[in-house]
Amino acid sequence: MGRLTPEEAAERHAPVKENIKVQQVHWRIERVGFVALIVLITLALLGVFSSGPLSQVQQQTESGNLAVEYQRFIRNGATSELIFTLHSRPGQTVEMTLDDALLEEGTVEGMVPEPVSSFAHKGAGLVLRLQANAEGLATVRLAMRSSGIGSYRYSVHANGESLPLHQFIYP
Amino acid sequence: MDAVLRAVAVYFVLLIIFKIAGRRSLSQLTLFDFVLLLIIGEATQQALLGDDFSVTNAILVIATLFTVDIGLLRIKQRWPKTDVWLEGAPLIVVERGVPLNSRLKAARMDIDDILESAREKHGLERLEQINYAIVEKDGKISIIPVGS
Repeated sequence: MGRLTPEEAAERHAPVKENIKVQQVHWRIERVGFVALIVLITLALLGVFSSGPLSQVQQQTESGNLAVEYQRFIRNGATSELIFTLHSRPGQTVEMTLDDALLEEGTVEGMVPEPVSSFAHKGAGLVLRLQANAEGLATVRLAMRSSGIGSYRYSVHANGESLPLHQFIYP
Repeated sequence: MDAVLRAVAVYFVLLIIFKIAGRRSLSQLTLFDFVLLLIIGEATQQALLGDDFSVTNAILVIATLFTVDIGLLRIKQRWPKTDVWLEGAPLIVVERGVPLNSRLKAARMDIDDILESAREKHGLERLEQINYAIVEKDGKISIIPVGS
Protein backbone atom coordinates (compact mmCIF):
# COMPACT_ATOMS: atom_id res chain seq x y z
CA MET A 1 0.00 0.00 0.00
CA GLY A 2 1.17 3.50 -0.73
CA ARG A 3 3.68 2.38 -3.38
CA LEU A 4 3.62 4.54 -6.46
CA THR A 5 4.34 3.10 -9.87
CA PRO A 6 7.54 4.64 -11.31
CA GLU A 7 5.56 6.54 -13.91
CA GLU A 8 3.22 8.01 -11.31
CA ALA A 9 6.01 8.74 -8.87
CA ALA A 10 7.46 11.25 -11.32
CA GLU A 11 6.90 14.76 -10.08
CA ARG A 12 4.60 17.00 -12.15
CA HIS A 13 5.15 20.73 -12.36
CA ALA A 14 2.03 21.70 -14.28
CA PRO A 15 -0.67 22.74 -13.66
CA VAL A 16 0.54 22.73 -10.04
CA LYS A 17 3.93 22.19 -8.50
CA GLU A 18 3.99 18.89 -6.65
CA ASN A 19 6.37 17.65 -4.03
CA ILE A 20 6.25 13.88 -4.19
CA LYS A 21 9.09 13.39 -1.73
CA VAL A 22 7.29 15.26 1.02
CA GLN A 23 4.00 13.67 0.03
CA GLN A 24 5.47 10.21 0.49
CA VAL A 25 6.85 11.15 3.88
CA HIS A 26 3.36 12.34 4.82
CA TRP A 27 1.85 9.04 3.73
CA ARG A 28 4.47 7.20 5.74
CA ILE A 29 3.64 9.33 8.78
CA GLU A 30 -0.03 8.42 8.30
CA ARG A 31 0.78 4.69 8.23
CA VAL A 32 3.26 4.71 11.10
CA GLY A 33 0.98 7.03 13.05
CA PHE A 34 -1.97 4.72 12.66
CA VAL A 35 0.06 1.83 14.06
CA ALA A 36 1.22 4.09 16.89
CA LEU A 37 -2.39 4.98 17.71
CA ILE A 38 -3.33 1.30 17.85
CA VAL A 39 -0.39 0.60 20.15
CA LEU A 40 -1.45 3.53 22.35
CA ILE A 41 -5.01 2.25 22.61
CA THR A 42 -3.82 -1.28 23.37
CA LEU A 43 -1.62 0.05 26.15
CA ALA A 44 -4.55 2.07 27.48
CA LEU A 45 -6.72 -1.06 27.51
CA LEU A 46 -3.99 -2.90 29.40
CA GLY A 47 -3.97 -0.16 31.99
CA VAL A 48 -0.70 1.64 31.32
CA PHE A 49 -2.58 4.92 31.60
CA SER A 50 -4.50 3.91 34.75
CA SER A 51 -7.30 1.49 35.58
CA GLY A 52 -6.43 -1.82 33.98
CA PRO A 53 -4.65 -5.08 34.72
CA LEU A 54 -1.16 -3.54 34.49
CA SER A 55 -2.11 -0.69 36.79
CA GLN A 56 -3.91 -2.55 39.56
CA VAL A 57 -1.60 -3.39 42.46
CA GLN A 58 -2.46 -5.62 45.40
CA GLN A 59 0.19 -6.26 47.96
CA GLN A 60 0.49 -7.28 51.55
CA THR A 61 3.14 -7.86 54.14
CA GLU A 62 4.38 -11.39 54.81
CA SER A 63 2.28 -11.71 57.94
CA GLY A 64 -0.74 -10.45 56.02
CA ASN A 65 -1.48 -7.91 58.75
CA LEU A 66 -1.20 -4.99 56.38
CA ALA A 67 -2.51 -5.01 52.83
CA VAL A 68 -3.00 -2.32 50.22
CA GLU A 69 -4.76 -2.06 46.90
CA TYR A 70 -4.10 0.85 44.55
CA GLN A 71 -3.51 1.99 40.98
CA ARG A 72 0.12 2.10 39.90
CA PHE A 73 -0.61 4.63 37.14
CA ILE A 74 -2.83 7.58 37.84
CA ARG A 75 -3.54 10.87 36.13
CA ASN A 76 -3.18 14.41 37.25
CA GLY A 77 -6.54 15.83 38.27
CA ALA A 78 -8.26 12.45 38.37
CA THR A 79 -9.44 10.67 41.48
CA SER A 80 -8.13 7.24 42.38
CA GLU A 81 -8.76 4.95 45.29
CA LEU A 82 -6.39 3.41 47.80
CA ILE A 83 -7.69 0.62 50.01
CA PHE A 84 -5.80 -0.30 53.18
CA THR A 85 -6.66 -3.39 55.19
CA LEU A 86 -5.18 -4.01 58.64
CA HIS A 87 -5.42 -6.92 61.03
CA SER A 88 -5.28 -6.24 64.72
CA ARG A 89 -6.90 -7.36 67.93
CA PRO A 90 -10.70 -7.52 67.76
CA GLY A 91 -12.51 -4.35 68.79
CA GLN A 92 -9.31 -2.39 69.35
CA THR A 93 -8.13 0.67 67.50
CA VAL A 94 -5.12 0.36 65.25
CA GLU A 95 -2.84 3.10 64.01
CA MET A 96 -1.72 3.48 60.44
CA THR A 97 0.79 6.03 59.16
CA LEU A 98 1.16 7.32 55.63
CA ASP A 99 4.31 9.18 54.56
CA ASP A 100 4.26 12.87 53.76
CA ALA A 101 4.93 12.07 50.10
CA LEU A 102 1.36 10.86 49.76
CA LEU A 103 0.08 14.28 50.73
CA GLU A 104 2.46 15.94 48.27
CA GLU A 105 1.01 13.81 45.50
CA GLY A 106 -2.46 15.30 45.83
CA THR A 107 -5.37 15.91 48.15
CA VAL A 108 -7.32 13.35 50.09
CA GLU A 109 -10.87 13.98 48.99
CA GLY A 110 -12.54 11.50 51.22
CA MET A 111 -12.07 8.63 53.65
CA VAL A 112 -14.50 5.81 54.21
CA PRO A 113 -14.98 5.04 57.03
CA GLU A 114 -13.89 8.14 58.90
CA PRO A 115 -11.03 7.20 61.23
CA VAL A 116 -11.55 7.45 64.96
CA SER A 117 -8.96 10.18 64.92
CA SER A 118 -6.35 11.46 62.52
CA PHE A 119 -3.55 13.96 62.60
CA ALA A 120 -0.70 15.08 60.41
CA HIS A 121 2.60 16.63 61.37
CA LYS A 122 5.25 17.82 59.01
CA GLY A 123 7.74 15.00 58.72
CA ALA A 124 5.60 12.55 60.63
CA GLY A 125 3.12 11.86 57.88
CA LEU A 126 -0.58 11.29 58.15
CA VAL A 127 -1.64 9.15 61.09
CA LEU A 128 -5.04 7.46 61.04
CA ARG A 129 -6.47 5.61 64.01
CA LEU A 130 -8.92 3.00 62.80
CA GLN A 131 -11.47 0.92 64.62
CA ALA A 132 -11.13 -2.83 64.06
CA ASN A 133 -14.25 -4.96 63.86
CA ALA A 134 -15.06 -8.11 65.85
CA GLU A 135 -12.69 -10.14 63.65
CA GLY A 136 -9.91 -7.64 64.17
CA LEU A 137 -10.17 -6.30 60.64
CA ALA A 138 -9.92 -2.58 59.88
CA THR A 139 -10.32 -1.21 56.37
CA VAL A 140 -10.08 2.33 55.10
CA ARG A 141 -10.63 3.64 51.58
CA LEU A 142 -8.94 6.87 50.56
CA ALA A 143 -10.10 8.85 47.54
CA MET A 144 -7.11 10.80 46.27
CA ARG A 145 -7.20 13.55 43.69
CA SER A 146 -3.66 13.76 42.37
CA SER A 147 -2.22 17.17 41.66
CA GLY A 148 1.42 16.24 41.15
CA ILE A 149 3.16 14.88 38.07
CA GLY A 150 5.78 12.15 37.89
CA SER A 151 6.91 9.30 40.08
CA TYR A 152 6.00 9.16 43.77
CA ARG A 153 7.26 6.69 46.34
CA TYR A 154 5.98 6.48 49.86
CA SER A 155 5.14 3.85 52.38
CA VAL A 156 2.42 2.92 54.77
CA HIS A 157 3.24 1.73 58.27
CA ALA A 158 1.11 -0.20 60.73
CA ASN A 159 1.64 -2.87 63.38
CA GLY A 160 5.38 -2.33 63.09
CA GLU A 161 5.31 -3.37 59.45
CA SER A 162 5.47 -1.30 56.34
CA LEU A 163 4.67 -1.55 52.66
CA PRO A 164 6.22 0.55 49.90
CA LEU A 165 3.87 2.18 47.41
CA HIS A 166 4.97 3.46 44.03
CA GLN A 167 2.69 5.54 41.85
CA PHE A 168 3.25 7.36 38.60
CA ILE A 169 1.11 10.38 37.80
CA TYR A 170 0.57 11.32 34.16
CA PRO A 171 0.09 14.97 33.29
CA MET B 1 1.61 28.27 34.08
CA ASP B 2 -0.30 25.06 33.48
CA ALA B 3 -2.95 26.87 31.39
CA VAL B 4 -0.26 27.71 28.83
CA LEU B 5 1.28 24.22 28.92
CA ARG B 6 -2.12 22.58 28.58
CA ALA B 7 -3.04 24.70 25.57
CA VAL B 8 0.30 24.09 23.82
CA ALA B 9 0.15 20.34 24.50
CA VAL B 10 -3.43 20.01 23.24
CA TYR B 11 -2.67 22.10 20.15
CA PHE B 12 0.27 19.92 19.11
CA VAL B 13 -1.41 16.63 19.98
CA LEU B 14 -4.39 17.58 17.82
CA LEU B 15 -2.04 18.70 15.05
CA ILE B 16 -0.24 15.34 15.13
CA ILE B 17 -3.45 13.30 15.23
CA PHE B 18 -5.00 15.22 12.33
CA LYS B 19 -1.75 14.76 10.43
CA ILE B 20 -1.98 11.01 11.03
CA ALA B 21 -5.62 11.01 9.96
CA GLY B 22 -4.54 12.50 6.65
CA ARG B 23 -5.94 15.42 4.75
CA ARG B 24 -9.12 13.70 3.72
CA SER B 25 -10.42 14.12 7.24
CA LEU B 26 -10.27 17.89 6.87
CA SER B 27 -12.58 18.26 3.91
CA GLN B 28 -15.76 16.44 3.03
CA LEU B 29 -17.33 16.06 6.43
CA THR B 30 -19.43 12.94 6.52
CA LEU B 31 -21.90 12.32 9.30
CA PHE B 32 -19.33 10.23 11.17
CA ASP B 33 -16.67 12.93 10.87
CA PHE B 34 -19.13 15.45 12.21
CA VAL B 35 -19.91 13.31 15.25
CA LEU B 36 -16.18 12.72 15.72
CA LEU B 37 -15.42 16.43 15.68
CA LEU B 38 -18.17 17.12 18.19
CA ILE B 39 -16.78 14.52 20.59
CA ILE B 40 -13.20 15.69 20.08
CA GLY B 41 -14.32 19.21 20.95
CA GLU B 42 -15.96 17.98 24.12
CA ALA B 43 -12.92 15.92 25.19
CA THR B 44 -10.51 18.72 24.35
CA GLN B 45 -12.42 21.27 26.39
CA GLN B 46 -11.80 19.28 29.56
CA ALA B 47 -8.11 18.93 28.87
CA LEU B 48 -7.76 22.61 28.03
CA LEU B 49 -9.53 24.01 31.06
CA GLY B 50 -9.11 21.31 33.70
CA ASP B 51 -11.23 22.17 36.70
CA ASP B 52 -10.48 25.87 36.52
CA PHE B 53 -13.46 27.65 34.98
CA SER B 54 -12.23 31.16 35.66
CA VAL B 55 -12.26 33.86 33.00
CA THR B 56 -8.52 34.31 33.50
CA ASN B 57 -7.88 30.69 32.63
CA ALA B 58 -10.05 30.91 29.51
CA ILE B 59 -8.24 34.07 28.39
CA LEU B 60 -4.84 32.47 28.96
CA VAL B 61 -5.81 29.35 27.01
CA ILE B 62 -7.23 31.34 24.08
CA ALA B 63 -4.24 33.69 24.05
CA THR B 64 -1.85 30.73 24.02
CA LEU B 65 -3.67 28.97 21.20
CA PHE B 66 -3.65 32.12 19.07
CA THR B 67 0.01 32.77 19.84
CA VAL B 68 1.03 29.26 18.78
CA ASP B 69 -1.11 29.55 15.66
CA ILE B 70 0.28 32.95 14.66
CA GLY B 71 3.78 31.74 15.49
CA LEU B 72 3.43 28.74 13.18
CA LEU B 73 2.04 31.00 10.45
CA ARG B 74 5.05 33.29 10.75
CA ILE B 75 7.43 30.35 10.61
CA LYS B 76 5.70 29.13 7.46
CA GLN B 77 5.95 32.55 5.86
CA ARG B 78 9.57 32.98 6.75
CA TRP B 79 10.66 29.50 5.76
CA PRO B 80 8.37 28.27 2.94
CA LYS B 81 9.96 24.82 3.24
CA THR B 82 8.28 24.28 6.61
CA ASP B 83 4.93 25.03 4.98
CA VAL B 84 5.43 22.14 2.57
CA TRP B 85 6.38 19.86 5.47
CA LEU B 86 3.49 20.90 7.68
CA GLU B 87 0.75 21.31 5.11
CA GLY B 88 1.94 19.19 2.22
CA ALA B 89 1.75 20.08 -1.47
CA PRO B 90 -1.00 19.62 -4.05
CA LEU B 91 -1.17 16.23 -5.73
CA ILE B 92 -2.40 15.47 -9.24
CA VAL B 93 -4.60 12.38 -9.30
CA VAL B 94 -6.17 12.58 -12.77
CA GLU B 95 -4.06 13.65 -15.75
CA ARG B 96 -5.79 14.31 -19.07
CA GLY B 97 -8.68 12.06 -18.21
CA VAL B 98 -6.46 9.23 -16.99
CA PRO B 99 -6.65 8.37 -13.27
CA LEU B 100 -3.31 7.87 -11.55
CA ASN B 101 -4.37 4.83 -9.60
CA SER B 102 -1.40 4.26 -7.33
CA ARG B 103 -1.60 7.90 -6.24
CA LEU B 104 -5.31 7.63 -5.57
CA LYS B 105 -4.75 4.50 -3.53
CA ALA B 106 -1.94 6.08 -1.54
CA ALA B 107 -4.15 9.10 -0.85
CA ARG B 108 -6.95 6.72 0.22
CA MET B 109 -9.32 7.96 -2.49
CA ASP B 110 -11.05 6.44 -5.45
CA ILE B 111 -12.46 7.48 -8.78
CA ASP B 112 -15.89 7.97 -7.25
CA ASP B 113 -14.53 10.77 -5.05
CA ILE B 114 -13.13 12.50 -8.12
CA LEU B 115 -16.35 12.08 -10.11
CA GLU B 116 -18.40 13.33 -7.19
CA SER B 117 -16.33 16.46 -7.02
CA ALA B 118 -16.50 16.89 -10.81
CA ARG B 119 -20.30 16.65 -10.76
CA GLU B 120 -20.61 19.00 -7.86
CA LYS B 121 -18.37 21.75 -9.15
CA HIS B 122 -18.59 21.54 -12.93
CA GLY B 123 -21.51 19.26 -13.76
CA LEU B 124 -19.15 16.79 -15.45
CA GLU B 125 -20.25 13.17 -15.90
CA ARG B 126 -17.28 11.28 -17.25
CA LEU B 127 -13.60 11.02 -16.49
CA GLU B 128 -12.67 12.01 -20.05
CA GLN B 129 -14.17 15.43 -19.42
CA ILE B 130 -11.60 16.03 -16.70
CA ASN B 131 -8.28 17.47 -17.72
CA TYR B 132 -6.78 17.50 -14.25
CA ALA B 133 -8.01 16.52 -10.82
CA ILE B 134 -5.86 17.83 -7.99
CA VAL B 135 -5.99 17.05 -4.30
CA GLU B 136 -5.23 20.35 -2.62
CA LYS B 137 -3.33 20.90 0.61
CA ASP B 138 -6.55 21.12 2.60
CA GLY B 139 -7.90 17.87 1.13
CA LYS B 140 -10.35 19.42 -1.32
CA ILE B 141 -10.43 18.05 -4.85
CA SER B 142 -10.00 20.66 -7.57
CA ILE B 143 -11.21 19.79 -11.06
CA ILE B 144 -9.94 21.40 -14.24
CA PRO B 145 -12.28 20.40 -17.05
CA VAL B 146 -11.11 19.66 -20.58
CA GLY B 147 -11.05 22.74 -22.80
CA SER B 148 -10.91 25.33 -20.06
